[in-house]
Amino acid sequence: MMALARAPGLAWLIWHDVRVKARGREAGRWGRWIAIVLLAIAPVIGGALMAWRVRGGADVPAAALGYVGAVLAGMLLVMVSSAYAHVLRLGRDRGELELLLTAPIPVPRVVAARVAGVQAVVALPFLLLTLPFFLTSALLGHVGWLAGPLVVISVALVATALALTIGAGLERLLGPARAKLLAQIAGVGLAASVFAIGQAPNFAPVWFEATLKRLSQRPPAPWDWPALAVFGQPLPLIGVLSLAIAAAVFATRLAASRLEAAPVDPVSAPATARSVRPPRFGSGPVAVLYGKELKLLARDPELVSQIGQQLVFMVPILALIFTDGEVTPARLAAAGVFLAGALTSSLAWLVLCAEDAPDLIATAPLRPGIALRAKLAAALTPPLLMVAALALIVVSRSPVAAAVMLPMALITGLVSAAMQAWTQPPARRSAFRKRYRSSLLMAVGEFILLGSMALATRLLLVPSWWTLAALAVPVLLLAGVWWFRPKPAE
Amino acid sequence: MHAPIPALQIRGLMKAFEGFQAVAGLDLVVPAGQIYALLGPNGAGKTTTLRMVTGLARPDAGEISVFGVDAVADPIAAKQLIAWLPDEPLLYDKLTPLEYLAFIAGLWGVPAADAEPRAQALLTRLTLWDKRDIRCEGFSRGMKQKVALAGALIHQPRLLILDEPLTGLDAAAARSVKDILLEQVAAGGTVILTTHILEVAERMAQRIGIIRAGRLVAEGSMAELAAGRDAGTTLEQLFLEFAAQ
Repeated sequence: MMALARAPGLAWLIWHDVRVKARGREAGRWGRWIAIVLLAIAPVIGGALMAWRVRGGADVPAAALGYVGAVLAGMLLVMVSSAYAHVLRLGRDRGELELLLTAPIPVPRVVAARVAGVQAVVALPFLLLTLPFFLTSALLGHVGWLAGPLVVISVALVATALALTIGAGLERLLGPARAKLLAQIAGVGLAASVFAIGQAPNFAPVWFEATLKRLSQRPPAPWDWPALAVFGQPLPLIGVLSLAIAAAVFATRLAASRLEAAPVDPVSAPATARSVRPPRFGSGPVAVLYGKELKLLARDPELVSQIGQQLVFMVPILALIFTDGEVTPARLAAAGVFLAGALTSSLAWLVLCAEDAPDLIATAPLRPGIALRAKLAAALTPPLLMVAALALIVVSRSPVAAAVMLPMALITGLVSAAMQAWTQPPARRSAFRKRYRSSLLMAVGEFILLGSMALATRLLLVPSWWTLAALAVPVLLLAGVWWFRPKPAE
Repeated sequence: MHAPIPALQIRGLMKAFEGFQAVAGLDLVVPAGQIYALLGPNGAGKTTTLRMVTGLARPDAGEISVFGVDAVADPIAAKQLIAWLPDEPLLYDKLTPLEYLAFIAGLWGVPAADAEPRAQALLTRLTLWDKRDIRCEGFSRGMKQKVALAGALIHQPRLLILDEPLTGLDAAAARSVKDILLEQVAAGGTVILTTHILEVAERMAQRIGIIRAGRLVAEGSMAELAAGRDAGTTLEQLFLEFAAQ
């Protein structure tokens, strides 16, 4: 493949970038492929079925233009959020970037390749989701709809340019660190909004109906152009593609100027003194280990936002618990147990598996198990505080539900932490986002565990003998994980 | 009269990794109150040996004694006497130097009355006092190495073990690290270091041990090692000779 693109052309540089990013660890490669196939099944079947349903209709369905426009607007928002995260990382991996920048290649070409990488990453998930629909529709007679993927790519190009513009503006106004924090908070908020809108039929059926009605009306020109472009209308399509090309050129120029203006990675630039409380000397090993873990967690906004995002992704699952819109103490207790387990799992990975100085802890004169217990206490503290706050809401309506929720959350947290400690290899904290990439089985196992514990909590409050069956699942799961856990090797 | 207790005594130490014999019956005695340079080509077993001394790896066979304490049978008591400084500093980027020192002091159980003034003295000595409240994430490699060295010294170890302590340091930082090691020995401490910079070993170490394929092949002071050879024989020449045997 590399031979097809002549070195050191733009295509060759893009291919180099893709190859470097795509090469993960050899271990777990089959797991990744299985995950990809499983994830691809839904859009392929769903897209084909949807295309079958709309076959034979008008080439430009006027009633659908509002919906399509709304979907494109939503897609643009999510893409901007995704692009922003990548734009923030654009200047990182300086070692490799600086190698390319010192090579006898025009700088704009290197930057264009980097920006193209971001654009591809932003567009790819949406292309995978929509391609089956557009391709099947084309096969069923709507050939013009093949313009759909081009519009998706165009939206990605515009989103990347917008993200770069926002990034440059925010960095100028707030500085790199605050701009990054703001972007992370906005990312969590955006993800939460998207999921909340996805669950609107359950939470707010009246509002959802009214919005659908409004969207069924065709938007005024030129706001209907993106939707018309999706259906292959020549003039709107040319307009959208022209806008996308202009955005891509602008993005490359802006990225090049940003790289020149910030020749070192802002993250590793020398920090300034902060007003911190002087540390307490003379504390014991448990106290310093516990305090250290909480301090490291609190001081890493990137990790905190990633944990926030992961919890936000639990919203659709929790929504299943509230499907009929009724919030009972038993349901809140179950939701609390689920969230506590999910949060503990993330934190346990960070404090148990992602220790930055394992040799330091190992050479300290500590009794066996002391470090583990202190770290476990640190991982359990935030989830238990969260559950305690929830218990305060629940206790006035049902003291029993609150009394059941707290110990169940503790047990779920301990079981989640044990699964992390037994199965996850040591890693750097920066690998937090990718921790499940090598083990789909582990992710599924954790999901089953959390679901069973939440179900057991609800059944316990009914009460029902089925609670025992629900509790048997995590017991069996834990036994299996213990049995098959990787054996330590020095 | 009793013989003085050595800082480190190793007998018949063995360690293998997946069929590779990293340490093969090593015998070593490091007298107290000296700088001891442990040299050897890459893969000779230096780091593996030191990791077993510090409790980071378990020996397959053999004895390790730190100031008379059996490090295999009672690792906690032995660890109380040792500080370990690997070539990659063991730091937390999100902690400040002062917080890091408070953390290490807590792990080694140093009372506040001792730890606090000691932390100030160490950070001042290493020209880091004005950076005590800045998180380590933006520090250069040399600054990180100095923070790690301060951490290693905060609990006043009787045996300081350093693996390639001067890697990546600029001249000024390397100078201050060397001065601190000499001060440590002058105050009665013992230092074991590994280094590939043979001039450092030649100038600083009272005794030098050369290991090859997990065994000690030569040991003694520079004068003892060079005995019977031309005047002006350098450690580099000796090292190449012993390592090639």
